[in-house]
Amino acid sequence: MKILLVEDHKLLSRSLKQALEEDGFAVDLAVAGDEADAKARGAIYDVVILDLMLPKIDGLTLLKGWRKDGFTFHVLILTAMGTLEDKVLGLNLGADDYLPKPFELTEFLARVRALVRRGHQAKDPILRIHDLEIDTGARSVRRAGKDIYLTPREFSLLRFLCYHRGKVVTRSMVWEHLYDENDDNTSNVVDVYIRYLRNKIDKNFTPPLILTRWGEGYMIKGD
Amino acid sequence: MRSIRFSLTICFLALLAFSLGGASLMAYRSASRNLEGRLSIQKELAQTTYKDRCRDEENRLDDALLFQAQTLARLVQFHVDWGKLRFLELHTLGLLTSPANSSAYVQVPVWALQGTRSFAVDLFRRATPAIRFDPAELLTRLDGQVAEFFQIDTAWNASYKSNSLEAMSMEINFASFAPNEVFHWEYEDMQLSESLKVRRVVLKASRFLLGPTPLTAFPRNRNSGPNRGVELPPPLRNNNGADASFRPAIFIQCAYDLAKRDALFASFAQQRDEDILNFASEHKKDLEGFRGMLAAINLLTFLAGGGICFWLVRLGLAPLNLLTVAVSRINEKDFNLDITDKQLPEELKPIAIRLGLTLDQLKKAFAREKQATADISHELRTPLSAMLATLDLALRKTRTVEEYRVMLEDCRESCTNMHKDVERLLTLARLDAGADPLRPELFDLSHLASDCVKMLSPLAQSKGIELQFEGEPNLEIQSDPGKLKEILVNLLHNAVQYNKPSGNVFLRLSSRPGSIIIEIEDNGIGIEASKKNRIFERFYRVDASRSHGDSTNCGLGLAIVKGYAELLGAGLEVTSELGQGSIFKIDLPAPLIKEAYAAIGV
Repeated sequence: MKILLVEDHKLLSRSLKQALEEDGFAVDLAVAGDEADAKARGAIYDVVILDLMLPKIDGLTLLKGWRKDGFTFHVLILTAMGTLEDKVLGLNLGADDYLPKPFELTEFLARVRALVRRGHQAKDPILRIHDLEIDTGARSVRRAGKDIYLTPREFSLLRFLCYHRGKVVTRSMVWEHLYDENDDNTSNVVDVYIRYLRNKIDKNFTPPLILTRWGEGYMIKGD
Repeated sequence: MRSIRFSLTICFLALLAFSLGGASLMAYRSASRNLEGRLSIQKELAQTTYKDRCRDEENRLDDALLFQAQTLARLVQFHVDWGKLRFLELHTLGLLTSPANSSAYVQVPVWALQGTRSFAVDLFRRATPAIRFDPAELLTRLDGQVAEFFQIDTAWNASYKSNSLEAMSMEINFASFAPNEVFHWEYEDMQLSESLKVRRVVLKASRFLLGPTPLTAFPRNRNSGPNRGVELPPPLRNNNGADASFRPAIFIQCAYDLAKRDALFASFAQQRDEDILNFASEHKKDLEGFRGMLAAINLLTFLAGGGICFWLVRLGLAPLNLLTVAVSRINEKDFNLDITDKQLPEELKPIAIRLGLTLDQLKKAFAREKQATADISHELRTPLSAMLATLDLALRKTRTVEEYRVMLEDCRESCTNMHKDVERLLTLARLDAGADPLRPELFDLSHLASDCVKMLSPLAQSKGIELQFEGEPNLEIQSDPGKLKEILVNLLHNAVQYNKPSGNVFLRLSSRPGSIIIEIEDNGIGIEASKKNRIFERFYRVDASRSHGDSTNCGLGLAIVKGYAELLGAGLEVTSELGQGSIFKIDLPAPLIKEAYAAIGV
């Protein structure tokens, strides 16, 4: 799950990035309008968090341009302008959600998760596969009633696989969705994390849920 | 003030009434004058008619009189005294045969008439001493005739008077009848008696001497008057040519009582008076009719005028209504004057244009206000959200001491920046409210300026910019050092902030008589000419972006500089070229203290 955070306030963007990363999202940052536009058009994002008052190009103009050109990622507007007109205008221009500053971090994260769920046509925040339960809200994982601790990276990989259950997920898909612009692209990093996940989820349980499609990628078992 | 519609209608109706009244008065006067003229013509006509009738009547009577006289003249010719004539015949002439009856045709021999005058006269005097008429024939001939009185005289003293004359007689002036004229008549009014006035005709007739002549030969001349005789064939002349012939003439007078004629005339006069009365009443009726017609026309015209006036006023006020409707549609959300120039007449265009301009300014002011609110919200809410998010993040789970320290430091920095922004906003609010008075004191401006330079040197060094101070030392003046320092720090900060790497910033001080010139020059990015006037607006930034990399500036610094400069009475000028740099020049009207002392001789 990759997120583009467009925010020109340094401290705010740093804190939000950290919070999102702790929640298992990969986060790219953009400070100015032109930078945000280039990144949004150049990579695949699940959600774009957009401040409206931006250097160079303002947020609403960016949003209009993206929607006009057919970009379907979800957009959460994050702005200090919280009047009704501003909200209505933002939503009417193609935003999916609107969060006025100042806000609670938990609300912000919940809204981002909801947008991600919506992106995968999932209503239930708890993903269930066989005896595996993944609570995307509480970021907790259980298998056969036993709690399993996952690092944010592992969690986000598992969540990504589950959102694509029954389908093959290639390494490059994983790379595009789970790693931000600052991560080094080493070819076996996905394989390493799959191994970690298998150790925690499949090792002591049957049947194994994470399958390997040779030459293609990985897949989590469908129902 | 009453409504335009009401005033216009009243004025128009008053004007209409006034002109209608004037026109009606003139028309009435002219018409009544014409009618008066007609009346007087009618009166004159009646008078003329009356006169004509009188004259006609008089003529008719005169003709009748004459006719009667002629009739009498014929009748009288047949009545002579044959007894006397027989005597003449026997004794003198013996030529005439005498019929036995007493009435016969006068056979006067021609030769006798051509004889001596005295003889002829004597002949007639003797033959016809009296005039007589056959009463039956007289009655037949004169029945229904005009004349009541008649009298016949002859040249030979024979005469006859009608019974009605009684003792009265009508005298004749024979001399007025020319002897040569065979027929001659004259009309005359005469006083017959004291109480009786008559009109008579005196006819001289000598015809019968020449033999019978048809009575129809008598001219019926309407034009009566003396000497209106008809010349008949000339009288016979004797051998020596002398007109010595005797003309045995008779003078017949017929007369009627003028009272009768006057009575007729009086009836004519009465008729005339009646006519005149009729005309007068007709005149009056016509005038009344005309008055009624005028009143009706005036009423109709007034009503029609009122209707037209109502319509015209509506037509005239329609654009005003349009404007009113358009203006009433304006509200705090929609400042558009929904009206086009084409819909308005020339007179209202200035209003609409002025209104449109004012509304535009209002709209801009509202937009600025909204923008300012949004700016303030953004400037305060963003760091607040950052702090909240950071604190939430810190509290989310147990972290290492180092992590907590970093987060707390971040929050502290954010707080510091917010504090600066709040202070700037408060400064501007105080400036707006006039609650920031000048606190003048004596100080050394050079010292203050170098302090400011020192203060900003670390920032300049971090950006690789050289900050230089050039100025005279000991510029002691009386002014507000706090505000001057704020101005200098803000300008210097901007000069450093918006500069290119390894740029230069100069602060120059120079004293002029009565004032100090402060110049802050940089060779940085410069300002576009179109944006130069706006840089002093609140929250305005040349780059629409707001870079929070150095969050010490939220677009209020220059607004404060401008406010303080105005408060100090200092001139503030900007010259700038894009890409070349800018110069901010402050002209502070503060004389050096030593100059001021010198001026007052201390």
